[in-house]
Amino acid sequence: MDESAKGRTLVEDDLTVSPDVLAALARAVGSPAGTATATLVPYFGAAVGGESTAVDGLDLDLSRALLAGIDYDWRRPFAPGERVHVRVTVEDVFRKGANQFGLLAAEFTDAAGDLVQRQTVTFIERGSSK
Amino acid sequence: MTQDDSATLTPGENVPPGENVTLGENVTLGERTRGPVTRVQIARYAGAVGDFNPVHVDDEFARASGLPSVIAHGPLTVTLALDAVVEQLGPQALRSAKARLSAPVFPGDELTVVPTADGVEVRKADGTVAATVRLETVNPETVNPETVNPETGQPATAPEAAGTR
Repeated sequence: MDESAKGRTLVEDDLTVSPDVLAALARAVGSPAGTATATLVPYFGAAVGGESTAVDGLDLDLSRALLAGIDYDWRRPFAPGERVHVRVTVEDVFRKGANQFGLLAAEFTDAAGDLVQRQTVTFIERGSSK
Repeated sequence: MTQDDSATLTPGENVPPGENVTLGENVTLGERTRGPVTRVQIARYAGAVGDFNPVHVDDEFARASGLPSVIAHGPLTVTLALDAVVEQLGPQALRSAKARLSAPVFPGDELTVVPTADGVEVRKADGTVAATVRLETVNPETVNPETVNPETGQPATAPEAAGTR
């Protein structure tokens, strides 16, 4: 994991909260509450901007990397069709014992600039020598 | 079970099976099941969020990595836990969630979302805890119903669509 990545912006973009994506996520959840649940978690911060966002951004070695956790702070659910601005940054990269930890933060703001959701995604790279 | 029958726990205290737990004022959670998780579900989640890491969708890759099969995305496991909460409180009641993943979830795993003193745990059939989710909620009764679509739990007045990405 690249400790010099701390503070780097990996993605900054405008997105439309696609009703089709929300519907696809609701189908994946597969429960009667799925439609409502999808409005809380339509994005995985580490995959915003493409599936290699986290791998390239943190220089993750996938053979030793684990997703350890994900935190959400919500101001409100996403609304279908709304336009949001997303910024994904490397919040921290640090070593603890033989492992390295990388934290990505994804902030979603609405057209008025108000925060909709903040995610923090934590990766662990076991036995890292980088 | 009525809210009066619910238990109020301290962190670390075990929850009796089937017991409802009070997280805060007028916020009571009961146990729910999700799954069994399927390969189709995992593939659908991969498509929805754009995460096609082969450990989730390629059995051969997963076995080469020392796993018995593909595994569910960690965020999918968390999403299923949150879904069990949303089913009971609605999406407007959730303010924060801190999820820690502790064991992989495989196709065929049936998950039980069990209330704890400060959130929920996702347990597999053998009792293994796959995820622990600490929750911060608001009283669902304080959410202004005039601002929420009762069928979707979303804001009643959504901003106009501006095309797709």
